[in-house]
Amino acid sequence: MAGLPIARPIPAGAAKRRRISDEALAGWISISPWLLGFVVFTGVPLLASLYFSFTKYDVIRSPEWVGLDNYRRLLTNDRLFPLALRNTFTYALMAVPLDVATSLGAALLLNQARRWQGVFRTIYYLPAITPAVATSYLFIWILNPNAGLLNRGLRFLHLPAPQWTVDPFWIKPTIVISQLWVLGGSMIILLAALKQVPAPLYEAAWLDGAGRWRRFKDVTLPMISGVLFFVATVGTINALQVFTQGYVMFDKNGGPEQSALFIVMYLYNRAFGTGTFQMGYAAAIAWILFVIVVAITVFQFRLSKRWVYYESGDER
Amino acid sequence: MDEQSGRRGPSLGRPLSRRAVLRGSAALGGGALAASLAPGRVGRRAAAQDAPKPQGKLLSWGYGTENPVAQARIEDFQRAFPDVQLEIVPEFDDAKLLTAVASESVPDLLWLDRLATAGWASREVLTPLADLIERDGYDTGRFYESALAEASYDGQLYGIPGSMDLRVLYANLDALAEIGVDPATIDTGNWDRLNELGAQLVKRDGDQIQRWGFDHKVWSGFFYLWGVGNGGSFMNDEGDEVTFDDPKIVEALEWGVKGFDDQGGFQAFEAFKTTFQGDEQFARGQVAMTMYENWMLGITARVAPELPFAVLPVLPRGGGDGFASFTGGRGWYIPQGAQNPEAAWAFIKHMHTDENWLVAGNAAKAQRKAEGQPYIPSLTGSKTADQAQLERVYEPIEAKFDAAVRLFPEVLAGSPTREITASPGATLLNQALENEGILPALRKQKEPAQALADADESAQNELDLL
Repeated sequence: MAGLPIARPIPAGAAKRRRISDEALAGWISISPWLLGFVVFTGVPLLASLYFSFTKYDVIRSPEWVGLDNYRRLLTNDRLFPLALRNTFTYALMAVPLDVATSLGAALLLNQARRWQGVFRTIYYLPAITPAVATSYLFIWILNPNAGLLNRGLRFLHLPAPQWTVDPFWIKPTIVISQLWVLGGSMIILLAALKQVPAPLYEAAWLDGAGRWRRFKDVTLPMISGVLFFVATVGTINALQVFTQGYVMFDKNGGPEQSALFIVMYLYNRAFGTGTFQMGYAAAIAWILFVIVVAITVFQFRLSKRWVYYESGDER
Repeated sequence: MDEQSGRRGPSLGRPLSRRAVLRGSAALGGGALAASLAPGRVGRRAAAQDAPKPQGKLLSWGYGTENPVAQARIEDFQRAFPDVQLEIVPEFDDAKLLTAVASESVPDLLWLDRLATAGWASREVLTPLADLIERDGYDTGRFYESALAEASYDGQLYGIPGSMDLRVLYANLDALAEIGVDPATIDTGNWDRLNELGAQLVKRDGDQIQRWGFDHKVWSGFFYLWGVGNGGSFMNDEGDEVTFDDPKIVEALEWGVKGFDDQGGFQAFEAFKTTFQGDEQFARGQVAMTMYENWMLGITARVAPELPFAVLPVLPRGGGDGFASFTGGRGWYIPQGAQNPEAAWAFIKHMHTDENWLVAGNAAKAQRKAEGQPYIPSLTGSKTADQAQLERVYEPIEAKFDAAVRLFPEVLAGSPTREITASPGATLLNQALENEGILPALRKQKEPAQALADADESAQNELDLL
C-alpha cells in the first residue's frame, strides 16, 4: 500500500469556498468595466469635488485651502443661495405632486382604454423624448403674455390672462405647466403598475359592494403604492436638480426677480459664469444640495412605511 | 510671484493710473494712454524688419467669417501672408478657454469682449503686448483711448481693439409728429423731458401695449451711462470699492424707474418686449424712442430703410462735456503659451491696417448693393480706419443715415468706458448691479436707494473675494 497515492476526500466546505471564490472572481471581472468607469468618472470626481469645496479654485491656478469659508459664506453671506433654495423647494413642492397626480390620471385613463391603447400610450410618451430645450421654447411661446396661444384663448373667453413669463408670481407655475406636458416617463411606469393589480381583488371588492372610488382608494392605490413611492421619490430628486427649463425659458439669472434661479443654475453660474470660475464655491453648493437630497430621500423612505404597501410583505 | 512676473514680461514705461485712463478716455482729444503705449519712434521701424517672418499654423478662436467684412479681412490677410496656415474656430465660450488654458493647449489668437480683459489678464491667461509694440514701433495712437483702456489691465495693454460700439438715442419721427414734437427741439440733456416724451408716445389698445414710448434701457446694461451722465460714479478711484449707493447713481435709477412708471410700468414693458424679435423693435415701430448701440442703424437700414428717424447723442444731465454713452467692443489677444505668437502678432497688425478695413468696407458695400440695401460702415476701434471708411468707401444714402454715420466717431471720442471694466470681477459686479439693484427697483420690489445699497453690498462682497 505504501507509495500508493491515497485519495483524500476534499472537505465539502473547501470546494464550496473555492467555487464561490471562482464565481466571485467571475462576477468582479464581469462588472469591472462598470467599476472602472464608476471609480474614474464618478468616484474620484465626487471625492475631488468634496476637496475642492474647501478651496478657492478657478482651474487655472492651484486650489487654495480656505477651510469652511465657502460653506460659511453660502449659509450666512450670500443673498442668492437662500433665494435659489427657496425657488427650488417651491418648484419641487408644486411640480412633484402635480406630476404624480397627472401621470396617475393619464395612466388610469389609458388603462381604461379598450382600443388603441398603444397609439395613445405612444402619443402621451412622445413629449418625454422631445428635447427639454425644444419643449421649453415651445412653452415660452404658448405662455407668452401678449401673443401666446393660452392668453389669446383666455382673452377670447373674457378670462383674466396672467403675465405667465413676466410676473414673478407666475414664473414657477409656468415652468411646472411646461413640465406637466412631459409626463410620459412616470405615466408608463404607473400604467405598468396598474396592469399588475390582480383582477380578483377588484372582483372581490365589487362583490363586497365597493364602488369605483372605494375600489380605487382601497385596492388600486395600495397595490400601486410602491410604484407611486418610486415615482414621487425620483420626481423629487429630479425636481431639486431642475436646470434646463429655468435656463432656457428665462435666462441664467432666472428671469424676473430671479424667480427661476434654481440651485443647479446658481451652481452653474458660479462655476462657469462669464469670468467667474468659482469652482470651490460651486462644489460647496453641490455638496449642500447633495446633503439636502439625501435628507429628503431618507425622510421619504421613513414616511413610506406608513403608506406604502408591499405585497411580499417586505418593506424594502 | 517672481515666476508670474516673468511670464508677464516687462511692463510699459509708465504705469497707468486706472482712474486717469477712464477719465482721460472720456475727454475729447485726450491721448495720455495712447501716448504712453506708443513708442512713436520712427527708428524702430527698422527693428520691425528684423522680426521673424511669420509662417506656420495659426489657430484663431472666436472670429467667424460668416459676414462679408470678416470674410474680406481674413482673405486679405491670407493674401499678404501665404506662408501662414490660418485655422479659424468661430465660436468659443469661457469654459472652453478655461479648459484650453488648464490643459496648456491654447489657440494663438483670441477674439474677446474687452470687458473680459481684466478677468483673463489677472489670471495670466493673456500676453502683455508691450514687448511686441516696443519691438515693432507699433503705433497704438490710432485707436480710441477708451478702447485701449478697456483692453488694458493694471497698466498693461493686452489686446488691440478690433471693433467698437456706442450708445445713442434713436427717435421715430412719425411718432414724434403724432404728438407734435419737432426732433430739432429735443434737448437730450433734459432727461425729465425725455421721460415726458416717452409717456406721450406710448400707444395702447385696451390693456395691450401697441407701441412703447421711450426705452432708456436702464434694464439692459445701459444704466452706466445714465449713472455717470448724472454725475455719479460706480467705483472709487482706487478701483477696490464699489459705490453703487452714490446719491447721484441713486438719483439716476429713480429717474429710470419714473420713466417706466410714467409709461405704464416695467412689468407692462417686460410683457411687451417678449414680442420683440431680432433687435428690430425700433425699425418695426414697436418702440418710438430707444437708446441703442450703433448697430441699430444697420438693422434699420436693412429692415425699414424708409422709416423716418433721427439719431441723437445723449448729453449728460443738464448738459456738460462729452456724451452720456459708453464704449465697448472686442479686441484681439494672444494667450500666454500660444504656439505661434509671431504669426498672431502679424495677424493682429495686418487686421488693423486702414487698407485691410478698406478692403472689408468695399466688400461689404458690394454685397449690400447686390442685396439692394445701403452700406453702413462698421466701427473699427481705430480712428484712422473709421475715417478712411467714411471718406473712401461710404456713399451718402440720405440725410438721416449720413448724419448718424458722421455722428458716431464724434460720440466715440467723447464716450468713456465703464468704470467696472478695470476690475477682474467686472461681470460679477455687473450682475450684482443689475440683478440686485436695477431690476428689483424697476419691478418695485425695493426702493432704488435700498436696491442699490443691497447691490453695493453684494458687489463689494464679490470684489473682496477676488
